[in-house]
Amino acid sequence: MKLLVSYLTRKRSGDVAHRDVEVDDDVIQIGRGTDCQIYLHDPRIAILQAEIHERAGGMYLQDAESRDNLVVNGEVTAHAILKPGDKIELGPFELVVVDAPEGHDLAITVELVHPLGDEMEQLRARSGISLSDIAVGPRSLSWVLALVVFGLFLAWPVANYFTRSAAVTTGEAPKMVDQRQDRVWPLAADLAWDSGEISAPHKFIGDNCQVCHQTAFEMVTDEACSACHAGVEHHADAARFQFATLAEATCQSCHKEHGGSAAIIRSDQAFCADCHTGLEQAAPDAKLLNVADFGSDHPQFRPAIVVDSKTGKRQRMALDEANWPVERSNLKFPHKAHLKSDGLLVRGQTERRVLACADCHRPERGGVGMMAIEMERDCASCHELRFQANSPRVVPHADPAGVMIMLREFYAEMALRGGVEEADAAEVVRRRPGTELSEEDRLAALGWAEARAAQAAEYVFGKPVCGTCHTVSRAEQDGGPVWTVEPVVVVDRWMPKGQFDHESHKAVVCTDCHAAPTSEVSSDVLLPPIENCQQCHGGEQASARVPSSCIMCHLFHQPFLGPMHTPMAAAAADSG
Amino acid sequence: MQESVLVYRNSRYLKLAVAAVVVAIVAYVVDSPVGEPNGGTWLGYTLGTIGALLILWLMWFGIRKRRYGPGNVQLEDWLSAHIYLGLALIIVATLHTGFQFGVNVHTLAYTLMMLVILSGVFGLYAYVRYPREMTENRRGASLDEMMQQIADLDRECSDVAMGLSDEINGIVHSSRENTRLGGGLLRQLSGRDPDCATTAALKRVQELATEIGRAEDADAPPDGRMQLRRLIVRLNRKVELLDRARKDIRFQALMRVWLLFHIPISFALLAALLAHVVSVFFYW
Repeated sequence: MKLLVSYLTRKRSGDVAHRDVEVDDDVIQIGRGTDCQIYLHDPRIAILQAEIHERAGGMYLQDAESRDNLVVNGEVTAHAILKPGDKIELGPFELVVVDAPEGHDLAITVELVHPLGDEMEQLRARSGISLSDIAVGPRSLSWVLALVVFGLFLAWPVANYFTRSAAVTTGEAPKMVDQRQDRVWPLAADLAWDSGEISAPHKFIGDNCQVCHQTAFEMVTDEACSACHAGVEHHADAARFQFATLAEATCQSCHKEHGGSAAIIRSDQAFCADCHTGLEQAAPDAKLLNVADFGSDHPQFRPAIVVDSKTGKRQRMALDEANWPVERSNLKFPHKAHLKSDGLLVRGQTERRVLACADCHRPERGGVGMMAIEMERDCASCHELRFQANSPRVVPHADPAGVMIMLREFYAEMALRGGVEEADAAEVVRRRPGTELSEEDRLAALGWAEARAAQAAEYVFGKPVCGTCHTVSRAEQDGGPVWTVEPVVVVDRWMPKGQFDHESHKAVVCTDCHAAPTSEVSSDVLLPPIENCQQCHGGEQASARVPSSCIMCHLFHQPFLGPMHTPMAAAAADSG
Repeated sequence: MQESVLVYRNSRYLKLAVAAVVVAIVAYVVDSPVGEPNGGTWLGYTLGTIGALLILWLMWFGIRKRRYGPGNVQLEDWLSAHIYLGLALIIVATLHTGFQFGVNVHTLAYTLMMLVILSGVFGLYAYVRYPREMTENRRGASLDEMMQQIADLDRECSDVAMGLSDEINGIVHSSRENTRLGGGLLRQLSGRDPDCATTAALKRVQELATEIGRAEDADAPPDGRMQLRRLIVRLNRKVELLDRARKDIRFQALMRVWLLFHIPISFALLAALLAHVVSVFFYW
């Protein structure tokens, strides 16, 4: 067949240039191969893309692989009969069948409608050669991050504060346990503001910031603390000592939260030493001695010693080796005699009993101090207050009037009953029990009883019984002798300003500190001087001793001194 | 040039930063506050204020560096001071914390600050090291020129492949349409492309060449083998260029990626700093 191929080139101006080629062949091959009659110079075309055969029915276009790779007039097909006006899409080419001119069987125009395009442009379009090409840039990231942080950590907690503060501060003061977090939000928004660990005793309110931080931008007030810690006592007598540092101090000046359990109570000795190394400057009439460090600069212990047993007056006296204090307690008690290593033999017992400290000295509940000695409990098992040879009867202790009454009753009962077996007793009382008594007899019996009671009283109040331990004075009066036992004044808190805990010293033997076994008189003050304690305890920085700062033994807030002056209270007082 | 920033004006800003750090350390050692050292002591407040002002001044650099008019202070001064005072901030801020850290907004601010500084250190390293390597890699050609050469090679390969089989033509066409430089952030940073269509094309064409050589096919025209060789030569050259271009892209990306951390995190820091300061006085 004779074929006219027109290669069309559309110019930018709109004009169409064409290059015509005449082909005369039985089969028209269309493709990229150079031997194709319709030569389509483009890498997107196969070497042999399609063929045109002349058949009985007409011009027959067929895909080279008989696949549906042809698009004829918009329809996908593998073959087609060509007629003028048909549009065939072959890759980027458009072939249009036009009216064949004279002498030709077929005429086709070929146009490249989808040129390959600029390689450079396409390469650049496909590539991402700089960070500006990626989706996210510094600016958008900055906004996102800043807004997220701002929202989570500033906006939300502040909003939370305003929605919750109404609930916390209005109404009555809540019970302590009700101050636990009352969660409105899923979780506490201001927990992110927590600046450090809450001390252990405050943890139960630790999630509820507003228990202490009651007003925004205001420091925690003393009222917030005293809502629970009411009436915390002063450190020094406010009337006598006007220290600016104490007067202006708030709770927060010394007690810092959010530092864990270690920081909530100041324990550093420098804090104390700041004032207590120059007390004479601040308070000329103070009696306290200066102190800086337990190990190297702490005055000798000065326990309160009874100096006048009549009035019970106490005086602080230093445990000075050269001038050891003497206690005037009106008690006679030799420790040495009681702590004999081979023990004591007590009337009525067969075996000797060895006494130890714990037999008389019992710790208080909690073990801090020792319970006061009670004669009935600690002494009476050996020191029975008996007065009659073959009778187990004892007189009451610490009750001289009661003693007299009992003695009289005892002997009166004997006289009344009769049958007294003493050879030198009056006849009337030695009568056979049951014998009737005349009035005269009765009076005689009573007289005997009185005499015996008086005798027994002399015995009891004398050296053998009461006088063993007590100082007894006898006064003659109209009704008979009257005995007065001097009150025993024993100090129960030797060192009231220091806190010594026996419980924590359980491993120490009593006699390491208390020189009891060698003490022969009870006026001995059996306390250890400070050198004894310094064998184990050193100052705050001690490394070879137990480090001991001031608050190990001393309190800052002194009991019985009244509530500590606070600026709020003063302001209220001023304005009120 | 970047080295000169470090020793600018006789290392004046290094000396300034060292002096500030020494003063801060001495003050910290000497100070004995109530309780443990922390951000709320007097020294803590002082160091915190200094740190916050430093942070604001350091961020101002982002604005200053875009002002192109003449200024009283040179940009090199600003940059040198920015680097050294930014490094000094590590010490100042850490002393301000009193070494107290926790899971809260305060430590968040500190952490963000450290991330900003670390990313800045990386940026400094990148600016000192990579420009020279980049210049060596370029061998006088810019990235654009390399891309133009690649595009030219694409065209040449296409032309050569036109006369070859459909399979080879398809391979070459695919390598032209599907080869890309760089890509997303990670691909740019890696300097490689494991899915490179050109490398795959070259490999396949070399296989085919070997097969044809082995087959001793009398039908295959010697001309075809020559064409194949020319194609392979061009594909090799294209692969070389692609490697160099990708390396160049990698260097450029490295020299800019740190800013993707440095700037956004510094804005997050600004927000966290604001939250930190407000919260400290809100719950005073």
